[in-house]
Amino acid sequence: MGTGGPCLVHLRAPLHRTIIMLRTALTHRKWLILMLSLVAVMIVLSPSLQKRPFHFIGAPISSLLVRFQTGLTALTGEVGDVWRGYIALVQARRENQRFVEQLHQLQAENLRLQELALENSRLQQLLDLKNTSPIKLTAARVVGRDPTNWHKTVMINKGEQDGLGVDMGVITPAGVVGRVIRTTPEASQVLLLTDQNSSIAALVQRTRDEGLVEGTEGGLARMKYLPILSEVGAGDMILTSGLTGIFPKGMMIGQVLEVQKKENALFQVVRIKPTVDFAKIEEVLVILRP
Amino acid sequence: MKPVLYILGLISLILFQTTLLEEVTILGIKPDLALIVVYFFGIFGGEVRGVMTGLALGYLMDLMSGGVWGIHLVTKLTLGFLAGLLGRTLMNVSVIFTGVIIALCSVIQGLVFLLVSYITSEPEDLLVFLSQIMLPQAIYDGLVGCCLFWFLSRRFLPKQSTAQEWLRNPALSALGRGSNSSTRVEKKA
Repeated sequence: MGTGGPCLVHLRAPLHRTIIMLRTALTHRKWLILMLSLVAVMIVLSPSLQKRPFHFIGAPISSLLVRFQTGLTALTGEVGDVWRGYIALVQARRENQRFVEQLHQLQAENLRLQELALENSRLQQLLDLKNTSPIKLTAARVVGRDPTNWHKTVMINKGEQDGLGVDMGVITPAGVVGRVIRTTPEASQVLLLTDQNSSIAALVQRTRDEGLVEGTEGGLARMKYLPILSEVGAGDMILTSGLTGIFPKGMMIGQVLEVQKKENALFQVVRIKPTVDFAKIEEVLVILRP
Repeated sequence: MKPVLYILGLISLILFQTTLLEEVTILGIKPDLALIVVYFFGIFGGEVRGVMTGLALGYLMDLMSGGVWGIHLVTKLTLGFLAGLLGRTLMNVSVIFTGVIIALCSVIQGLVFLLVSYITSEPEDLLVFLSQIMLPQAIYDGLVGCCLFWFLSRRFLPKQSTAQEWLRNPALSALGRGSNSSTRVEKKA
């Protein structure tokens, strides 16, 4: 007994310490969980992991969500159409819808013709719309919107399987919508023109001054880097300049609402009202080849 | 069965947030249901449930949103944890208190987004940012939180509700933290 005692004490001491450590860890369980969660977040945020392993996790989840979104959006549309139809008289609503569509088509046609006329008058027949490379488009349906109020994005039901890729332009007959920023095999996320992170090369139709159109905090757009001597005014139309290659030249972006000139500034800024009603877009066209 | 229902519930919430919620926007602003749900899970379910719900909803929000990757993950996780800590010390739970705290959480989350926006894209009009997005959203979130809490309390709770009553209530066992935690709170009290 006397000789075995110290050996047992030696064996018990590390075991005792381990038990104490485990007890301490269990007592501070919440902090342990927080630490583990933060480590998990750090791993998820790692740029190298986002490219490969997490893309494989995120892509199927996105695809699954988009399938549900498609169903829900279709359901909402059907129910909403019936409801609105009864409230606002079926015939009047249909006629109004047809007139609005016609108006958009005529506006687009009118602008295209004005653009052609201006090009002819400047004797710059470098671009003939008939001979320019034909735009290859694919139609897609909007199936979801950004879950927050901070960003302006929409999900569309076409993805890599349909030939879509990042930085492809998205339009409607009324004008520019935005560009693709994320794709999965079956869906894509589109950054709208009105998002703060959006930036599109543009020009003023009347004065031919070039600049960059960005989204604003209030859901409108602004054109920056316009020369201070530019004679741009309220009502002028803003079109794509075609410089970045995402959009062809001459597509409608919006109309100038207000010109902001500051003293001693090199550039002026104009506030723009986009021609597209972003709250109501349901179907879009993606430019596969500008 | 419970975990399956939990996951389905969270996915349904995100789907609701990205589709049907567009129909109830006020001045173009919609409530952040994910924030409200994470808060409720944290305050009545404890840190663990708060953090787990924050992680799951934050990840799904990041997947569906166009912002900086990971921002929802971090904000929702932190909110879940802090709400869990608050739930431990909270004795009286009232509708107004819940609304105010949720609105405050929304403002703090908005400030984090604003900070990140300054780093990534330099927003120019701070006043528009505050008056047209952050504050309306905080008010909206607070009101929705109030309504949700009022509905839950009328449905499940006696008139004079305290944290212990919430925790003892078996009807809220899916949300609540269970018997061990409730005894811990009782001892504290």
